[in-house]
Amino acid sequence: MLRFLLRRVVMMIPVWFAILTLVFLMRALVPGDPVEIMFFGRASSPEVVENMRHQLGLDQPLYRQYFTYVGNVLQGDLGTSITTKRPVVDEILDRYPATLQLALASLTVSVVVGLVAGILAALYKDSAIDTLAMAFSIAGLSMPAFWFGLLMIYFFSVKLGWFSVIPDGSLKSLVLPALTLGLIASSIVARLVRSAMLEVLGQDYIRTARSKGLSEPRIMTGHAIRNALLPIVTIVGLQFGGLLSGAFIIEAVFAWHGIGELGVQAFAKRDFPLTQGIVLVIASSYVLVNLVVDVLYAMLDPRVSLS
Amino acid sequence: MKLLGSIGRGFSLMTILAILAMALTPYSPVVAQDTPVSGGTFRTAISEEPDQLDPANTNQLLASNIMNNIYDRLVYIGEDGLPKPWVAESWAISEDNLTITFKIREGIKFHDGTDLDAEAVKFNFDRILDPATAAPNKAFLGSLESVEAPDATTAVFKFASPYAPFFTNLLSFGIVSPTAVETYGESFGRNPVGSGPFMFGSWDTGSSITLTKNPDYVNYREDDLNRGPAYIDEIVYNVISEASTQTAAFEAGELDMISAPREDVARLAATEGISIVSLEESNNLNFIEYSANEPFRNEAFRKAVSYAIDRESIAEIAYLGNATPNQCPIPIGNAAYDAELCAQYGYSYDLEKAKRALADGGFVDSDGDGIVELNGQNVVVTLWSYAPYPVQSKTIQLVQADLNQIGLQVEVQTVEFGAMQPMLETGEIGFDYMRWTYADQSILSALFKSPGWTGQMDDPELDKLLEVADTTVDPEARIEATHQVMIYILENALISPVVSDWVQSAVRDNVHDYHWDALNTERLIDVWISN
Amino acid sequence: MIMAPPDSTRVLSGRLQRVVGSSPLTFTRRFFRYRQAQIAGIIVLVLILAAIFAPFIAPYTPDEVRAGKPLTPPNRAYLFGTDDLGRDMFSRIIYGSRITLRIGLVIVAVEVLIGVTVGLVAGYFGGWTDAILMRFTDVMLAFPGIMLALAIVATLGPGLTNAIFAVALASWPVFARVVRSSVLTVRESEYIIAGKLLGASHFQIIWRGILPNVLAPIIVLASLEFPAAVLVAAALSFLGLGAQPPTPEWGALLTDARNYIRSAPYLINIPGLAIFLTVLAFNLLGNTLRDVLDPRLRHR
Repeated sequence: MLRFLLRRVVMMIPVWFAILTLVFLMRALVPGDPVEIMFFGRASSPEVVENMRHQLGLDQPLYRQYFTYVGNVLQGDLGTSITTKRPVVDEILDRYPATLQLALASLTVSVVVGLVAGILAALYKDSAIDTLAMAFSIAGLSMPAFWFGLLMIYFFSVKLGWFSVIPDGSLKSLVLPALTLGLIASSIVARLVRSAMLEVLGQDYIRTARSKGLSEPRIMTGHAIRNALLPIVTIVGLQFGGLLSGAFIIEAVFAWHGIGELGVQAFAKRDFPLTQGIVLVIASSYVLVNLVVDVLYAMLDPRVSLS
Repeated sequence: MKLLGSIGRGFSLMTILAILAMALTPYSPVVAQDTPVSGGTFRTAISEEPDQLDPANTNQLLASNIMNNIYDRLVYIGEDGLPKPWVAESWAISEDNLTITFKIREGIKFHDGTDLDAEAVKFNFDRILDPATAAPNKAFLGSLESVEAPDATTAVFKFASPYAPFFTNLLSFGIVSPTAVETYGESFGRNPVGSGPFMFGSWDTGSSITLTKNPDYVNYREDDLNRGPAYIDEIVYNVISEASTQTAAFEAGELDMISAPREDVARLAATEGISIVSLEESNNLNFIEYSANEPFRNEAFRKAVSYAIDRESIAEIAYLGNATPNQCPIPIGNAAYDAELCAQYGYSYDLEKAKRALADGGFVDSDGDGIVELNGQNVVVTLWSYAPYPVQSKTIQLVQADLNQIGLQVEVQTVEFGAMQPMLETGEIGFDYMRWTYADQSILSALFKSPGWTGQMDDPELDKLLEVADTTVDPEARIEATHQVMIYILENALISPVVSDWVQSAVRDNVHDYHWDALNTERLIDVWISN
Repeated sequence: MIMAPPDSTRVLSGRLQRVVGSSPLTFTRRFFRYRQAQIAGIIVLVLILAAIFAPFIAPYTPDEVRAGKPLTPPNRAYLFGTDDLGRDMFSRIIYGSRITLRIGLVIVAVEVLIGVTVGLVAGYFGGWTDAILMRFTDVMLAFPGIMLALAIVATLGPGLTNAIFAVALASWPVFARVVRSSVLTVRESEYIIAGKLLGASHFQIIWRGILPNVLAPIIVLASLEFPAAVLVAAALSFLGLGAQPPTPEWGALLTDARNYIRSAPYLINIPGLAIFLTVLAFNLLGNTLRDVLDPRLRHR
């Protein structure tokens, strides 16, 4: 087990370095001089611009910049935001928990709703329940998230007054954004759960269980669902990335002060140290979550050998 | 020149600058109807987090709105457009207009308990003049060379040449506590300490900024109703980037005031318990500017465009009625604004005159395709503006339709503001719809003094007129000098003024005495909340 | 056991038939036996007709300001009402269908071009080529799609073309992955080996032998990526980075109207519904295709 884990972690390292390199190149490939872009519209003299270029190390050759960048990142230094002049790490740490909270809450919504809908649809295949669940699922998949979010606020906060518009840090203020993201994401979960269930239900051991006269509920809980859960772990890992990107759209609508909102602003203002930091952190989280998922999968699935 | 060039720019939020002003009549003083009561929290929204709350390090309009509550300034500008005593009790201007000696009021304390004296004033301006600070607003100090503090109540400002906009430009320079600057160093911008009616409370990164009342405050400004400490205990600025979410929060009763989105003004005004407060004589100027290329360098073309713009319809449709048509090349709130003068020299909507102007300039439709030609080639031009502001794109589409009627084929295009300036400077943008918020008459120098903010100006005659306006310190004479500049601009149709849009807030009815001062800044010291 | 056919090309091309069934006609018939495909087919047909015949259907040109009184709610003269410049919303939606279709098609085409090439090459050649290409693909997959698109478009500057490019650049890795794994399953099959024995070039084998066999997953994925691409492009417009006004792109219409959600809700709900229905229809088509083409699920 330990060796498996170790191998996975070691395999992750080159991938992560490649990500780091791409993030670095992102800035280097920007057409135009980033300092010119960022000073744009502000009173500045050539000396100030030169000074800033020097401060950011932009007067160095590209390979030197790269090594400095990698060195800094490894020491936990992501640079300083140009707009707020605070360390990028601080900016991200201030925002990350909010996004994580939203992503986890949405994940919960999507898994619960998706599982229930998917299992029901599979059990009652071709019935009205199945049709309804799948219709609901495909509708969710087709919903523009921002439109859905605006409608949610309009109905639940303004019309009905059930939820406050400005998040106050309570669990309650998490409900609307988590529902918006979670319901949309649950469509995919529901579909995949359904097909995983159908596949399992067609397996020999289920038929064997049936022929042994085991009761239907026992077959379901004891065999079918447990086996169908496996692929779902993978899905959840993939979903997580989707939920992180959903944050970019949804956070602004719900005044949710997470990394997505920060990202949209950083992109708009071309605050490149901040942009790079955010992209790096999100990509890294995604890689990490997938690692965890892989390990979980291996632990749950007897067929995958751990050695 | 580039320094000043960066001043104006875009549409409210992220853009720049302190609203400087010499506005004459921006608001009708609010008459107190009830006895103010103390207490309560004033909740409002900002569309994004300010970068800093240090006047030496930011030029965001958004930041200056908050800083106005934290910092006092040497003087304020009254409704007559003249400077009035505030932290400075009085001042004297030398014969040669090169020295201003301020007498600093005794007994004013910063929120950290230290004294606001002449030495502190010197510290503040030295800090901004210091190139190492790289203060984005430094250009607003013009020809200021040095500040001396011979004693605790005297601050002497020395200039290299007479600089008339100085008093108004002081708006950008709230006085910060030198002790706090030393204590906090780099992070002063997140821990601001001033002497104003509100003290910095907390900054919850990304979500809100809270100011608390300064209980010891004495208000020396005579344009406010309240002479003592503020009535409200707290101001909370909630960061909400999405305008529709701001409105939703306001209507749900979670905010007491928001900057009113034009799209909702009519509906909110009709809503029980909500009022719209408008500042119609604002310091906003929306205009069409031109490059030095063909056909834009052709005066006849610019005159034709000026005649063809239906300003009334633009104010009505694009601005949903929340703007005033303006023929002057200066904001309606400016001291030098003169409707009569501009009607005489300006261009009112008249398609016949527009067509005649085109014909005079050699633009004729000889092949009968409905599009005029110049030197045998159809005139096809692109009208630009910046994104992502709906009102700019709406306006250029209306102008497009107007210009089609006089035989010009016009495309419209918007581009992010950041990408716009280089395109202006290279002349890639032929003509564009622009908005500046700027209250001093020196807006004209900022726009037009060669090479102009777009780098397209080269007019020695105009430069001379501008020089006179900027160095004439006497207010009356300065307005006269500014009028000469305005007449020159109109006669040559250097720009086509379109509208001055209003500053509007939606306020809950239990919020009283919400108003702006002559420089279009909020005076929350007067605000009180009834139950 | 290898049956050696006389001509490699014929062997290879014979496979295409298997993908779609006995003939295109019966395939179509089978496809439209699904209720969801019928509904989706009608919506897509309407969409395509609207796009082709836009100038004949739309009563106004999409950019004509003051076509009616501004902010007129939907009525008989203006089916979808007018926007704040008095433009006819019905005409804007009709013309917008052209842009939406173009967005989806171009994005998917670019994705397919990059993704399928990478997947084919990686899967066919294997070894180092495979390792390098697939690691790169994995790295690209580590960036959540919309964030990458956002970063690209923020770098290049906003605009419809840049947005399309950004979305395509961010989403091709899915194709690479799927195509590669499909290639692996057919790489060792008899007819490929036969082709090799007969001296076909790599290109011939890939083009005529492998590609037709991995066509089914490509078609299914493309049909599902199309609606996803439309959604992401609309989201970019919503963030102000996609289509710029006055382009009647539906996402941009939504953005333009978002402050009217209270004062003139039809302005935001009509384009919202248009996007929803279009994406829904293509999702349904994609699903049906998958059901029909994926042999594992066919009899379920």
